Amino acid sequence: MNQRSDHILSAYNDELAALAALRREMAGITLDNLEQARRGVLERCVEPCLAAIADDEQVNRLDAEIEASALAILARFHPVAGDLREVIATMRISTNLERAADEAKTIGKRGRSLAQSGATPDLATLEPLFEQAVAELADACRAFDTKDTALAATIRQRDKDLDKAHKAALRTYTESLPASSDTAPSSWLDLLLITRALERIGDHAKNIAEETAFLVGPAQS
Amino acid sequence: MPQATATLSANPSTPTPTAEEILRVEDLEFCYGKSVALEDINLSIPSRKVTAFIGPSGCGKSTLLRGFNRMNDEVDGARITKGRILLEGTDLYDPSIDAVRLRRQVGMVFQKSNPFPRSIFDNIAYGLQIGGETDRERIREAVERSLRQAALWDEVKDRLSESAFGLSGGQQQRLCIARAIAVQPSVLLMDEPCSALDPVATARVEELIHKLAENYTVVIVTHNMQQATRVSDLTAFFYLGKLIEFAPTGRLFSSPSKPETEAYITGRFG
Repeated sequence: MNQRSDHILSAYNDELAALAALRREMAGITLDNLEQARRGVLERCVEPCLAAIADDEQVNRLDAEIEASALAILARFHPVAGDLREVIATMRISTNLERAADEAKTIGKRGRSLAQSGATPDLATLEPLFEQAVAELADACRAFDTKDTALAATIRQRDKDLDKAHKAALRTYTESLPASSDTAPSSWLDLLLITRALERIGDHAKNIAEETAFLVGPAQS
Repeated sequence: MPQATATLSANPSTPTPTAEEILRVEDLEFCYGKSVALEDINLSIPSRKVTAFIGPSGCGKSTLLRGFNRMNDEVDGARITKGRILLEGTDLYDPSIDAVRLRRQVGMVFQKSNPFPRSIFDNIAYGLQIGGETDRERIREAVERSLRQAALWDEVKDRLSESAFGLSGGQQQRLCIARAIAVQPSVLLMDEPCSALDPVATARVEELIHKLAENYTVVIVTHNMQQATRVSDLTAFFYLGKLIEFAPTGRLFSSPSKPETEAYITGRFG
């Protein structure tokens, strides 16, 4: 018996493949948006920030497409076992990606504000947070795509590390706020909101990583 | 309620079944001539639940089902070569067991409805009469009770004397179920009971199966996996004469533990 070949029903197979392609496209655009937002903030450049804001619409559209596609598969093909878990996991991942993209949009808006403020805030504290959050989300998506449960298992600890880095960044900003003279209060608020957005992206990455174990299930483990 | 009116002779060597178990299969091997149809089957079927047998054609699921009331006795060369099947602790293949009596306790509904060429009333009454019941009032009560349990009473109560052949296919199948439960069996075996029915008639029979489990143990063979998910509490997956996996239906269809089960139920036989 071929245990993980294509489905006998080719239309079913095509629909599952199309759903997976939508999920990958959504993950790709979300990561692109996050990268644009990162560049906009760290390079103090408005254009990438505007791209991250504008492209959030694409992610929202894909979220709706994934929901419609998943519902159609459930209604038409009554998936079970690994197929059912994949459809359910994809719906949940879509929700997490949509929210992660919302955070990227928030970062883009705050980056635009920072770039236009003329202030010179402490961006060095943000850089490692960006690296951690982007890598966490990228690896969570890759772990699901490749059913790499070992990689997925690393995400939980990495998210704890990101949480610690987030708290440390908050401390840095709140301690340096009174001493700073050349940074407007609104820019400090921008930094705090970007920090919080990155922490939340880590949470979404952790949620996505947990779907890998759900997808793989007992039959494959 | 109607559980086990006919008691089989007990074999003292058999273990006492658990409180919930009604059928037990132990190390069973079954052959048609030299061909092994089932091997190394171990299974415990709980009382008053619906248990579904699924698997590709030729996997042995119907053979095992027919083994529960010795319908295989009628097939030349068919025999148990190892192990045993126990009903409430009694070995069904013990020489002392009367197969005809067994089939009153373990009733069967077939793929195609097979009403007798008699009236609706007589179809139900017949089994009672050949079982020795002569009291007309008790027979009438049993006919009504069986038809009500089979969710058919309201549709036929005004034409009980008419031919059973005048009923629709779905009604005929429910009549056969009523006929099977009239003698108050412990277990009801169903071999693809809806395969010849339209979707509405299928839904009625499925609802009936669900209700029957309040009073009877139901074992159903089906090729329709959606039907197995809808009607059964437990599902057993057979492949090439072996029991691959037996689990609560929700779990088997969402998170099977065996790759073979996963491949079959998702339609990935290569």
